[in-house]
Amino acid sequence: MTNVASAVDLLVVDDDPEFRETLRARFSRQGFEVALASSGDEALASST
Amino acid sequence: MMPGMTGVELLKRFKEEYADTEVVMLTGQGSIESAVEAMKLGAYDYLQKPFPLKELETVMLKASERRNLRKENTQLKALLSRAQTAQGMIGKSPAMQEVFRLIERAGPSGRAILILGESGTGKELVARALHRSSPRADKPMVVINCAALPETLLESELFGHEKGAFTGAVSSKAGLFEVADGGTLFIDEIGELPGPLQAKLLRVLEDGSMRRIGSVQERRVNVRLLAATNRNLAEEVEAKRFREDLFYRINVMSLELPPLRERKGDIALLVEHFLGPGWEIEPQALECMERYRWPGNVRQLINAIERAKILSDSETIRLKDLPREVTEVVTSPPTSSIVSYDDVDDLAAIQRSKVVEVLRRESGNKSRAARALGVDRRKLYRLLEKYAIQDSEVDGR
Repeated sequence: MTNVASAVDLLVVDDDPEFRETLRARFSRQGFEVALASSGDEALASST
Repeated sequence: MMPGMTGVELLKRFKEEYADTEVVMLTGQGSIESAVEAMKLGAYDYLQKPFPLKELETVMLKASERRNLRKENTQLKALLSRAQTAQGMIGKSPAMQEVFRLIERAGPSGRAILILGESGTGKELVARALHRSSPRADKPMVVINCAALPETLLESELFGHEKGAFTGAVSSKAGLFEVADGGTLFIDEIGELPGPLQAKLLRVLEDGSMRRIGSVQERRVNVRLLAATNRNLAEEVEAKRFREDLFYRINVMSLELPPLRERKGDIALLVEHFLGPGWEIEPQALECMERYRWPGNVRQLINAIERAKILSDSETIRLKDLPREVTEVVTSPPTSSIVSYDDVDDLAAIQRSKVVEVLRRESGNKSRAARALGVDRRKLYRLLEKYAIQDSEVDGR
């Protein structure tokens, strides 16, 4: 079983794709492992 | 906004399923209520859009730091439950494991055991563990500290007295040997036991008989003796301050407790244990504690933690909350100008007078005083209790 919540450092949840990408770019550079989700349901689904 | 589910709803679900995950809320509508609700539900922080990315970055770094701290603490707790024994003592170091093994083996034997160790290493805890693992566990264990009582009192405490045996003996009283009959008597600091009492003690140990002060009646008692000392008893015997025959009697077997500086691997566990639930400690602070020599051993460690919990302005112990002697870097040799004084007492006195001063200035108003001191009311009450600050002190100018 893989658990995204513990494998990634940061999960960005937002419905604005541009905003998600901005954050991904920024925090990846900081060394964070970043995952993205566009909705609450998607966030919960990707975390189990 | 997120379709389907609000941010607050998602936060709730996340905190339910992944309690260790830190959540930072980014709110769009600028609604204060949802921000407050988010914080209540356990969000780490919230930012209102639009915000500088730099700000989010700072928050994220702090949040991930907290998550790591929390993870470390969880790991420590797991370790702790494994290292904590039925005896109520903590330690996974080889030295302590050996102590536990000896307790298990020597406890049930019923023989006298001499417990050695510096002060603050937990000699009484060992005595209790030995008693509990013996067939006498359901009988009393009685404790007496020879260093705490003058000779005359010590004698009447140990052996009891008859009415009128000496001035002030208005009634007859059983001594601790009688109280402990069938059980265990733990004599702490036995190295301080005066000569005449050493002879009397030897006699009880040899044939189980004793007499109360002022009594001609022999009484028989069945007591297991556990004794402890931080002196080198063999040297005391050599110097003729301790009877050799008594020494052999109480030293049938000895058990030595290691000083804390020789079991540094246990410090993190001890800190975790004495901090208690809800508290955390910064890694730097823990490192300092692991480096320090702890001349007062576990007792000193406990005092340092209790003090830090009072000084701390959050539920996390930081470097600044520790006594200065613990955080001082010891790599540089001490200069002659260092004045030695009791740092802990000194700081406590300073803190106490500060609290009184501020309370007076605020005419005893605790909310305002707490704010002025930068602590919450709960903490202020803890301080008032700790330093036994009376209202009269605050009123009386």
